[in-house]
Order: sequence, then structure tokens, then C-alpha cells
Amino acid sequence: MNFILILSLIATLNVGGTKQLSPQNSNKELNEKCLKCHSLSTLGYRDESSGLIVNLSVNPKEFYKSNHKDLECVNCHSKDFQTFPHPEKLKQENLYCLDCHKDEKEFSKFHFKSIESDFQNSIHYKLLGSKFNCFSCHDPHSFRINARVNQRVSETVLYDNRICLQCHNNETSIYNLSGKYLPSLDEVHSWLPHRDLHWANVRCIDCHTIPTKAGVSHLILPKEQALQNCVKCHSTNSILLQSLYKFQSLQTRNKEGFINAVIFNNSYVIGATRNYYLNLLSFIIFGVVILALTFHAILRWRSNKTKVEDELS
Amino acid sequence: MNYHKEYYYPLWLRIWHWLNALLFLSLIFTGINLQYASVTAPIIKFKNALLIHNASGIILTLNYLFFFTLNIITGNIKQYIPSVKNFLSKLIIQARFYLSGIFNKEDHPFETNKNQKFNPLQQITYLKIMYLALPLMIITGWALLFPEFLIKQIFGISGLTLTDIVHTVDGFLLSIFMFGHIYLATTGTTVASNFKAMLTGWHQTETHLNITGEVTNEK
Repeated sequence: MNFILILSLIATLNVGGTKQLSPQNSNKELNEKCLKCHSLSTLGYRDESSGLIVNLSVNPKEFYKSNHKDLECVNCHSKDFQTFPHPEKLKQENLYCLDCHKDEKEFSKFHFKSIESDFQNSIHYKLLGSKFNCFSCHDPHSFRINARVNQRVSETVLYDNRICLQCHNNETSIYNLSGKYLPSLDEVHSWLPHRDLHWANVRCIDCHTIPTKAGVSHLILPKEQALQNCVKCHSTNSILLQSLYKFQSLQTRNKEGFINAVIFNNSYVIGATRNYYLNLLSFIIFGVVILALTFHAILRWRSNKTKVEDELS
Repeated sequence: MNYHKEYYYPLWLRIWHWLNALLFLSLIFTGINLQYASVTAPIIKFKNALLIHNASGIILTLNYLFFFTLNIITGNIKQYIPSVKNFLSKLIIQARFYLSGIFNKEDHPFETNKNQKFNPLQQITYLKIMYLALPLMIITGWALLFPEFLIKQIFGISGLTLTDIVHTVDGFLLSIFMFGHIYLATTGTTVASNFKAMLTGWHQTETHLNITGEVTNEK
């Protein structure tokens, strides 16, 4: 028996029950059978070939808040999982997000085809190949879209950065995946002014990807190509408008510039946070002052000239 | 008209003044570069602008503390405090001179001497600049240098955004002041005399001889 599951409890449960799936059953009721075991936080087994622990636990609270909350387990997983003990062959089950997401009309706005090609060109895929897949970052049992729906950019930043940090802030995870240790994040970001402030207010992917057709770019760049040109963000045509603020700022930035989008999100970006009216007022005041001083200087020069002429005559 | 020279500006004041002037230019130039940063037309690199701006701001703070302390120790601070008596009418007289008298060959309405270096308009302007606008600039500048200590929200708006707006508006007003200050410095006995005075310390003053032949600064 290759599954080294935590079996002691399972024996008492009616996992392989005979109740048939029917349309009137809510997915919660149907999923309950699976979650009786899979909600155990320690449920997992050690994969013999890799030696790594495979986590089989699903947090029901997180699942029912996730984008997949309306699904039944067997919508994605094989129906054969309804029998217990699960057949050995199911360990080979190979799920791929785009099997569902790629061609469905309702998902067209997410540009999954673009996400797929971005991913295949990303440094993760180039270095790790099939060892790296959607599930390496996105836990399908808890994943929620954020940037598109969350009004608070700070929450999106926190959520999205956590995805990167689950590996990049964890030496063991990185080593298990790539077989090497990477330099610490503090070290490689030491050049960045106000580093912690950047980390709290922009997503890793805002500098480590280039915007693509997809709502959230998945084209993760090699670290040498990560954005280091401050002005790309710190200017009126900030690339953050195409990435982090894409969904919030489309409506508000036309005339008023970046200011509304960032005020509402309690963010501030030097060079990008500009107020149209304050700018206009400052140019007018500056122009008036320069004109007044020039006019004054001309009048002084003319009166001095007259004065000299008077004295000479 | 006769002129005589008086030692107005001691060495410490001149050093502070010219260092302050250089830092103002540096801060305005780099500040504009930061505020109006552009990908297509960068004047200097954003990162360099930020570095120079921060370094200039820190030196400006030290320079201001130097000014603030010595201004008290030497008693120079008295120059900045306007006398309340007839102050408004004195202001109007001075403003009227700049707006019309200066074109009609009139003399400066208020003679200055080493104990009274500023005219009333200079007094009130310099007082506001040195004890209100510049400290506000320094405080907001340091707050932007350490934004993690800023109040997160003020009336529902980000504390950082508000601090930046105050810093930018104050910076703009100080820039306008600098233009006015440099221009009005050309209204001395000659166009260059006030600049020379701030370099050498010796100020050229108009001298009026009274009926007994005594030299006086009063009219």
C-alpha cells in the first residue's frame, strides 16, 4: 500500500458510501464525504520517488471562500475517488487548470490562453519544466481572484505576494523544487530605496513580469530582467496603471491623473501621484510671477534710462 | 547721493546663506525631476535625483539648525521680528515703493543699517520663510524619508499623500520666494551691490548728510 495516509480515523467514516449524486444535493453535502478526511490538516503522504510530502489536506473554510466554492470535488477529480480505499492508479491523476478554463466563454475575459503562453515563457517554466505548474503557486482549494475584484489594493498586494513568498521566503521549498539555495530576498533587494514600503505596496509581479494581455501577467522574468528603472512606475504613465492599478484606475485616471485612484487606495507613488488642478495652478502662478518680474525689470530699466538721460541733459 | 559701507553680514551668516542657496537649487532641480519624472525625457536618473534630493535635504536640515542656533546666540534673530507699531502702514509704504516709487526715481522708503538690515516687507517675508515655510518643508521632508512613521490616514486620506501634497506645495512656494528674492536683490544701490554685500559682508548704504553735515541714515 503506497498511500501512507492517516487512516485511523478514516475507517470510521462512510467515505465510500452508496448515496448517489443528485442535482438537488448542494455541493457542500456532496463534498462533505471527502472533507471528512481531507479537512484534516495533517493529511498527506510521502512520495516515494521525490521523497517529498504530498499534502492532501483541504481547508473547508478556505475552500468555500475560494473561486471554486461552488464545485464538487469530483468536478475536477476523478469520480473514482468516490470509492474507498482510493484506487492506487489515481495517484497518477494529472489535473490541468486550463482543461476547464481555456475555452469556456465565461472565462474569456481572463485570457487564459495568454496566461498559458506567458507561463510557458516564464523563468519558472524554463528552469523547472513540468516540475512547475499552476498548482505550484495557486492552490485550487483556496485560490481567489483579487486584483480584479478587490477595491483595496493593499489586500491584493498582500494576497499576491504571499503566493511568491511561500517559496521565495522559504529556503527548504526552493531547495526541494530547484535543488539550490537562492540568496536572501533582503540581499537581492538591498538596492531598492524604501524596500519595505515597496514590498508592502506593490506586488512582486509588478517588477518581475512585463504586462501582457492577461489581467495579471504570468510572464515571470529572470531576475536580471526585473524592473529596476524607477521611472517606469514613478511617472504619469506609470506601468502600475497597466498592472496593479489596472482595474481600479481605468475609470478615474483620465483627467484627474493618478491621484484619485491612489487616494482611494491610500497609496502614493512619487512622480505618478499628480493632481491635475494643483499642477495647472502651479504653472499659472509660476508664469504670472515670471511675467510680473520681467515686466517690473523692464519698467525699472526704462526709468533708469530716463534718469540717466535727464542727468546728462 | 553719497554711499558708505557697513559690515552687515558676518561670516557665519554668509556661509549659511550661500550653502542654503545651493541646497535650494539642488532641491528644486531634483524635486522637479522627481515630481515630473518621465520615461521619455529624464533630466537625470530618478534614483540619482532621489539620492541627491535626500542628501541635500539632510544637509539643509543641519544648515538650518546652524542658522537657528547662531541666529539666537548672536542676537541676529531681532532682525526678523517686526515692530508692531504702524507695521501695516509701513508694509503698504514699502509695497507702494516696489510697485510705483521705484520707477519714479524715489529713494528706498526705509533706510537700513547694521542694526536694522531688513525693510518691513523683508522682515515679515523672511520671518515666515525661515520660521514657518522652511521648518514645515524640513519636517515633511523627513516624514517622507521615514514614511513608516506617518499617520496612516487623516480624514480618510492617506497620511503619506497629504504629507506629500504639503511638501510639494510648500516647496513650490519656497521656489517662488527664491525667484522674488533673487530679483529684489537686484534693487540695491546697483544691480549687483546686494550680491556683492552677501559675498563680502560689506553692504553699500545710501548716506544722507543732515544740515550739520553729520552722517545719518534717517530721512
